[in-house]
Amino acid sequence: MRMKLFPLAILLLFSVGCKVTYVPDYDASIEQQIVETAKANDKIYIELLAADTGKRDYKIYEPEYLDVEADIHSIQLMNEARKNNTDMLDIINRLDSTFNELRIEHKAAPPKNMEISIDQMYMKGFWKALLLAEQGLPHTLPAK
Amino acid sequence: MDFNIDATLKDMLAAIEGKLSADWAKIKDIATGFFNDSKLRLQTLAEARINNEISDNFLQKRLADEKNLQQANFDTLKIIAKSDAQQAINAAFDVLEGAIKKAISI
Repeated sequence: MRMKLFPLAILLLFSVGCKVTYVPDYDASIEQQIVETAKANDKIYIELLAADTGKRDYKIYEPEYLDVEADIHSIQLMNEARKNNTDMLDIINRLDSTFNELRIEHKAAPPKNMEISIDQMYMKGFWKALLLAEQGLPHTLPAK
Repeated sequence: MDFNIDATLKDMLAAIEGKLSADWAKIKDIATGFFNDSKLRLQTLAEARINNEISDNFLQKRLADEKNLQQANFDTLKIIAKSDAQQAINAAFDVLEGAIKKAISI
């Protein structure tokens, strides 16, 4: 009886040994890049609020906008390379499109104080969604 | 070979239950945080419009962004729920794997 059941047990063991995967594993380097890019994005709004209204022309802030955009694309690329990651990519695409929309608005006209504060709140909301999503992924222990 | 399927299933369910009950509180906290953030943004928008600090056009654009952000928040909750379900199912199968190994004395 034991001999007959042994192959079945081995087969079962192999099948349960495979882990189910609905989302990718947490990545500390991606979390770090999200935190740093969110900080750089927030800094644009802090600087705008600190600047006199006559010194809020888009051209002054363009290099910072471009740096943040390049970092968003880098985060996007790293996430495109991960499997089972549709929801995370959706968050990044929404963040990227909103960032660009606000940048284009700034390009059209220098923003007022309240507009800057509101835009800052919205971008912070998108970054928070992305950061919490990354932190919510399974933290697998390194193989021994 | 001693393999008790009833006891194993009970242990598997306990593993799932233990994982999901802890994670439910975490998801609820995050969802409440998102709700409070949204409330603050909408309150700020309404007050700013009443005080003429923003235009109708600006208000309409940010309301569209609010919808976009709500969807991003929903995606975050989906990711966390999927992650928790994945970990709960894998914990249950770890229990099954352990029971089989024990039964065949590996």
